[in-house]
Amino acid sequence: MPVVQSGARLFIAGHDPEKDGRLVYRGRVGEAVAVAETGAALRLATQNALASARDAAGSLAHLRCVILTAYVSTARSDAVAPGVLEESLTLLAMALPSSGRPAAWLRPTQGLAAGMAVEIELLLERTRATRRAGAVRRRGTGARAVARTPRRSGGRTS
Amino acid sequence: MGAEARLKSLRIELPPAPRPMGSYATAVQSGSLLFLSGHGPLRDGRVAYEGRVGRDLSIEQGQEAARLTGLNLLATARDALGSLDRVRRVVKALGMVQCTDDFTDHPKVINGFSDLMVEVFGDAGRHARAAVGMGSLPFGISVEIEMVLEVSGAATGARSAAPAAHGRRTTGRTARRPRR
Repeated sequence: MPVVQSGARLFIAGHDPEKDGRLVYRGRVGEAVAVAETGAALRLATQNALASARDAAGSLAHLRCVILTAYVSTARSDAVAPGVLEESLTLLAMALPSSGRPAAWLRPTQGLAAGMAVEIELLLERTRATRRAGAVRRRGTGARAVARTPRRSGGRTS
Repeated sequence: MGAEARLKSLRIELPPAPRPMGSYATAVQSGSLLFLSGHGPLRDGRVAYEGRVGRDLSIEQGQEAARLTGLNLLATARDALGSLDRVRRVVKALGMVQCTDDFTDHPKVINGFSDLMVEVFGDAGRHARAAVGMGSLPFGISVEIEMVLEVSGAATGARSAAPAAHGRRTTGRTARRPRR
């Protein structure tokens, strides 16, 4: 399942860096995907994870991110330097206005499902009861970026 | 039908709960969530599925390894909770597959675990998941799985101090309560 809710927490399954049904970053980082693209790939997967979160919660307005887990398919240590998460963290900060900084877990892997170069999982928490209907959509750039992602197509999960 | 009754009707007998392999707990409850450490495909204290999926093991054998790992996780959960009927749902799993670097069917392998959870818990067994590939796992195990359950009732804290006589081991991930 893309999202499982337990109490105030939303567990977002691992999401891939795809756009419009196409896996944009395929293969291992440092081989088929350039190390310099790691940040952009992680950002795209984060955007897909947020789209699934919004589908489940109705709105991103009152969610905070507790843990951001990033898997990178690579044998290269520079592909898992903490800096590669900056773009994802910036997107999270813009898309989740009521979130502080999450804990970030960056995990190098041997390979990922279907050849995805990176994969993003989120643990989110409701900061207060969110109404499904009529929830306020924030106008931050990040929220717009997420809003551009069509509903029910927040990428594939593994 | 509760999970324990379902296990019975499926004629699934759980192994003894695995023992930890270091100074960590195999399960920790925090609020209504039970966090389980990484478990492997061990049977009677021995690694039953060793090696790399895609080279030493087929996808089908990987699935069997994932199912056996699931049985060990359920044994730990029952030991921690007293009964699997206290499980309200399976929330989240991380499935790690020791595989070749060009292997991409990690989800198929971890389905061996996920399908078992649905057999035992019905719809409540469906979970959020990530299935990933690892270059090496402890003792050469082909699959390692961590999971989070939502449970009813308070933590019992009544886990036996003495390890089960034929207990198997978990594989080295530490679960600690956060210090406040």
